[in-house]
Formats: sequence, C-alpha cells, structure tokens
Amino acid sequence: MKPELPPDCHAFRVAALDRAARPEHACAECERWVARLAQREGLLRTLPRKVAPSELDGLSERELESEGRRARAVRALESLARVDASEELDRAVEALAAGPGPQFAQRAPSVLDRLVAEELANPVKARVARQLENLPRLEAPVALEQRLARELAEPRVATKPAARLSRAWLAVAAAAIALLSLAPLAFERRDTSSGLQTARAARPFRVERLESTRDLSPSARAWLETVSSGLLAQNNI
Amino acid sequence: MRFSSLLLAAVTGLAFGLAGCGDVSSVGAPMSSTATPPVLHSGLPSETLLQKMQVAPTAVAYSGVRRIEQSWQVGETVYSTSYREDVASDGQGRVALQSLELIAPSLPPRSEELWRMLQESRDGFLFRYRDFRIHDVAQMVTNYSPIATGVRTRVAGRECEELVFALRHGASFTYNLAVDHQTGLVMRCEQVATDGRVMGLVEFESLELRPRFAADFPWDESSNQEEPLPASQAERLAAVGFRPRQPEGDGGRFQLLESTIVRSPEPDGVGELTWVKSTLTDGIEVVFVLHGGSDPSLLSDDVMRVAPSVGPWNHVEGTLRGERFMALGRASADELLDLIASTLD
Repeated sequence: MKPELPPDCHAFRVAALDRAARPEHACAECERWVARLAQREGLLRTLPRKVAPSELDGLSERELESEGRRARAVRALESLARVDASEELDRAVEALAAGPGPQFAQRAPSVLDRLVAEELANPVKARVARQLENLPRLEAPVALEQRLARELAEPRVATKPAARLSRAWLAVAAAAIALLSLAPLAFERRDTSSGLQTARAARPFRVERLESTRDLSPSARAWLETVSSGLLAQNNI
Repeated sequence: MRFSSLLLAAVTGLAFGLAGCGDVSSVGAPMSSTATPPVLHSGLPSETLLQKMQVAPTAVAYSGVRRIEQSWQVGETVYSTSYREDVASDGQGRVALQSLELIAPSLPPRSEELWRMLQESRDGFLFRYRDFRIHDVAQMVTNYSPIATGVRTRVAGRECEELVFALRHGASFTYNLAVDHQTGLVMRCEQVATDGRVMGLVEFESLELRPRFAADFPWDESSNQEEPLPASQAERLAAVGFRPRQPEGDGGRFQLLESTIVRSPEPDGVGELTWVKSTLTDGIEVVFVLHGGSDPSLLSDDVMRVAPSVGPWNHVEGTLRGERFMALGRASADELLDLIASTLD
C-alpha cells in the first residue's frame, strides 16, 4: 500500500491539477511531480488529433431530437434528490485512493449467511432437509380416497369403551404410518403467489427458495422489474 | 399434427375436462363492457378466429388506448398497479406502445415521469410477452381447451366474442377474453389465478382501425440486440465460446419457439456475459431458458435458487456443474426447474 500523502502536498497537487493558484509549498518531490505533469501534458499535445466520423453528427442529432428524450431525461434526473455520502463511503474512497484493501471484498448475499448459520447449528437436520426436498411427491391411492368417502358417509353407531380404545390405538398407529410415508410432503414447497403446483420427479440438483428478490442476481432482478412494469422498485420490494 | 385432429382433441377435452363449467359468461364481467343477450351456440372458437388472433397484434393497422390493471402478490402482500397506454400497429410489423398515465399507485410527478421513461425502454417486451397472445395455434390447441361461450359483448365500440382459455392438464391461469371477431384483436383479457383471484386485466378503452400515422410516428425500435443462434454445433461454439445446452421440449407442455444469443453485463460491471436464450411456448405462455456457459470462478455446487413469485411470473437461477442457468416465465417454478433439468445430459 502506498504511504498516505501529507495534507499540504495533497492540496498542492490538487491545485496543480485544477490549474488554480498553488499554495506556497517547499517540497522537492511535489515540484518534480508537477514538472512530470507538465511534461506529460506537452507529450499529449503533440499527438495528432483524431477526427470524429462524419456520420456521428447526424446520429447525435437524431438521437437528441427523438421524442424529446433528452428533455425528459434531464427533467427526471433533476428531480432526483441529492444523496450525501456517508462517512463509511468517505473512508472507502480514501482507502481506494491508497490502494485496494480488504474492506472492498464483496458482501455475500444474506441468504448465504442464513444457510451457513442453519448448517452450523444443526448439520444433520440441514442435510436431511436437502435430501428430502428432492424426493418425489407421493400420490395417495384412489382406493384410499374412495374408502374414506364410504366410511365418512356411513352413519356413526355407539361403541363400547373397549372397542373405542382399540379404535383409538388403531388411529394412532395409522397416523404414525401416514406421518412416516408423507414426511417428504412436509418439505414440498408451493408457489403460493401464483398458485401453480404440480408433482415432480427428482432433479439432479438442490433447490433453494429465496426469501426476497433482492437476493437475485442483478440480471434476474432487472428482468423481473421489466415484466412487472417497475413494481419492485415502486414498492421498494 | 393436422389442425382438424387437434380440434377433435379439443372437443374431447371439452367433453371430459370442462363439463360442468356452468355459465361461463358470468365469469369476471368487466366494468366497462356492455353484454348483449347470449347467442344460442357455444363450443370451440373457429379455426379462422384463432388464426386471426395469432397474427392480429401486428397484421392489423390500428391505434387505441388501453387500460392495464395488475393485482400481483409478492410474498404475503398484494400490490396493485393500474395505468393507461397508447398502442398502435401499422399492420406491416411496426408497433408502438407508450404509457400515458399511471393511475395507481399515486407517485410524485417526477417519479411518475421516471417510471414512464423506464416503461418506454420496456415497451417491446411488454407488447410481445405481457399481453395475451397465441404464439402457435397448433401447440395452443394441444395444451389448452379454448371455449367460445356464445356470448357477444361490446368493448370500445367493437362487437366481440367471449372466449375462455384454460390449460387442459395441470394448474395454470384461465384467460377470459373478448375478441373482436372481425379483426381477431383481443379487446379485453382477464387473467384469473387457480384460486379465482383476478391477477390482470388489459382492456381497450378506444380503438381506431386503419388510422393515418404521421411520417415521424415513434414506432418501437428493437433494442435487445439479440442474434439468432447458428444452426451447426461448430458455428455455435465459435459464436458463444461454449456448447449451448437447450431444454428438451419433446412431448412436454413447452416447445422451442426460437434460440438466440444475448449478452448482459458481468455482475461486477466489468465485461459482459454471453447467454444462449431458448424461448419456448405452450401456444400461449412463453418461458425463457438461458444458459451462460461455464465459469471457472463459479462453485460447482449444483444449486438452483427459486425467487419469490412476482405476480404470475416465476424466476429461477443458479449454477449447475459450474455453468450458469436462468429461467423466467408465467409458469410454475417447478416447470422452470424441469426445463433446466432437461438441458443436462
């Protein structure tokens, strides 16, 4: 990382770049820096000037005249409120001037934090959930549905206490079997919004449900913004 | 498959799948239409009308004002949007869509202006994919049961037939339409979710046929810069730098409509990503499956991430075997995931 420039050297160099009156400053290093700057400027002036293609004028004119786009863009941009930079941003810019630092590492999506936390808290549960999520949904046999319908339609009769007890045990056993066989259904998710749902075969990948569209990639979010006519941005979703 | 045999299949579907639908004419009656007494017949819409509907959006010269209403659920919240737009076609393939006014939600004037500008950049996509459209008549008849209710109605001064389109198998939306029987234009489209919620409405408030367009009329200029995907594998490899993976639509609900190459900025903003975009249709709905090739920096974690539904739209994305995949469409997330799974060897 480069050493930080003393404030008076920094002010002197900024004034030189702005072609403003330079403050008094007795620093040989800065004088050399200004001399190099002048030398580079001189070299750049010697380069031959490139001429813009003649079609550019026509293209620019057409673009600027089309449907008052420029006027609308200017009005919309003028309407945007100025946002003051936070102290954190100031610090980040200063650090950037001195060279890239660890604070510029990209932040992982929030969903990753949650998944890692869940994995660390209970690795076995997380692994089982992943496995079960991809199991195919089981359909109840038609015969079961018909039998249930028949039994529900039958008139109820009074039963003796012993018979009631054995029926209760039978009900508990049936419930336990049903729980075991239907466990994968507990992990079957639905598209609750659009209400579209179909049973699926196992896929050769893991499926992860995001809680927010903010966790999507920028391309995906832009796509959803387009199809929704700006719904996400309008409602800060 | 011949259209006549598809119609026969549709009749069978009508008999077995949709018996007991009752009085369809009472479903979702819109506020601004005036229903006339129903005519005596109902059944399948004519082949001629379906074919007119397929080409009408760009083959009929017209201009009009439409109202769009959306009541979309995202997570647990329902968001309502309503706006008006100008729509026009010169009948020769040129179209224009311009948002006029945002009715709801109420936004400050500057924000509404910004929204209108952004809508301008989306107009091509909205014209092609937001509105009800028959993309392929034969494929549509395979997947949907179209019913002519026998009810005549007037929308924006045009005499329309009421049609209902419902998916034959599986769960999807029902479309209640009022179709101008002379031109085939869909004058009103109501999109109804499986639980009966009305999610969207697109309705003409005025329509002029064969209008005079000024020489400098602002027709939509395509800006997506997509290129057709070459036919041979060698050319494809040269064009995109990887072997494109495309979904297998054989026998399924969705069939390939077109394949193109698109480019998007890299997530870090430096450089761009190349994608092979497969556009598939079931005759009405369109889904996009994108394959972005391999990237050594990606984890080969084999995870697909499912976004929360945004109204009728679903989106999935992820990396499989170190390669990027995305899919978007008015289909269930499960169907999108199945299409991506079908791209794998």
